[in-house]
Amino acid sequence: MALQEDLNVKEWVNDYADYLYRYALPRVGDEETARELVQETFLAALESLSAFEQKSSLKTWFTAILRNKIADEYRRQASVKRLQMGHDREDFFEENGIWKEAHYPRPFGLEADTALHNKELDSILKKCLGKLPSLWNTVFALKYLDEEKTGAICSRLQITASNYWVIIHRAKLNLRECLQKNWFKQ
Amino acid sequence: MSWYTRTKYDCRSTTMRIEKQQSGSINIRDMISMYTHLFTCPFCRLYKKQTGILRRLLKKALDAYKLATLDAAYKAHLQRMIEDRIR
Repeated sequence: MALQEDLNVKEWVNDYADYLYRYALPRVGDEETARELVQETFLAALESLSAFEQKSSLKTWFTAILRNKIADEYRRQASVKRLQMGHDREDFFEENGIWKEAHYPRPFGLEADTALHNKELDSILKKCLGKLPSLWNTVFALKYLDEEKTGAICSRLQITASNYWVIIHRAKLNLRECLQKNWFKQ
Repeated sequence: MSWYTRTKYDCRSTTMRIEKQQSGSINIRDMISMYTHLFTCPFCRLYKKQTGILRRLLKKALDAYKLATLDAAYKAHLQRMIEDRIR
């Protein structure tokens, strides 16, 4: 069991649990799932201790395992994706393509940069994001956190490019409107 | 209907084109249509401005995840699990 001592197995949680959690959380958009993925990563690592090549760091190794687990999670969700496209949501536009009056964009009153550093705004944004399907949140995370290219995001989530644009479009329309409505109530 | 009339009323496509433009994946035809529309539509002009604000807000919110921590109870659970397995 020399290998276990070499790899400091008893310190894994202390050294890497938060790191792995922070990696998983924005990518799956759900605390419960992120926690489970951290656990699965440690379990998978324990089972394949002998396969670990000391050439790479433990951190790199864990990240690779976690990335695979996240990809599995995306595949698992693939079956419900059709429901998450948002076709059932209200259309913001008239048939001819112009804005419906009820959905006209109005000023936020926070066009100034200083307003962007605002705690209340953060919590409104969180609330608004929570109303979106989890797939939409994942798309945002890949787009803005990893700054991944569209093609890479589509292949990771197994969606077509046109589905991707539909999601981004609907997500932004909904998020913008939610922000406008809630910010105005202040 | 002429191309101009169609474009003038097409807020649906314009808001989509704004997304594509911000990702750098818009083609020249769509770019021309987008700016032609924006020239006559104050709502979409505002939308374009706000979508830039949204992008910055989203980046900031996602960055906040980098400070997230697992709670102590769950860590203790993980620790026990690992120690059980290596015994």
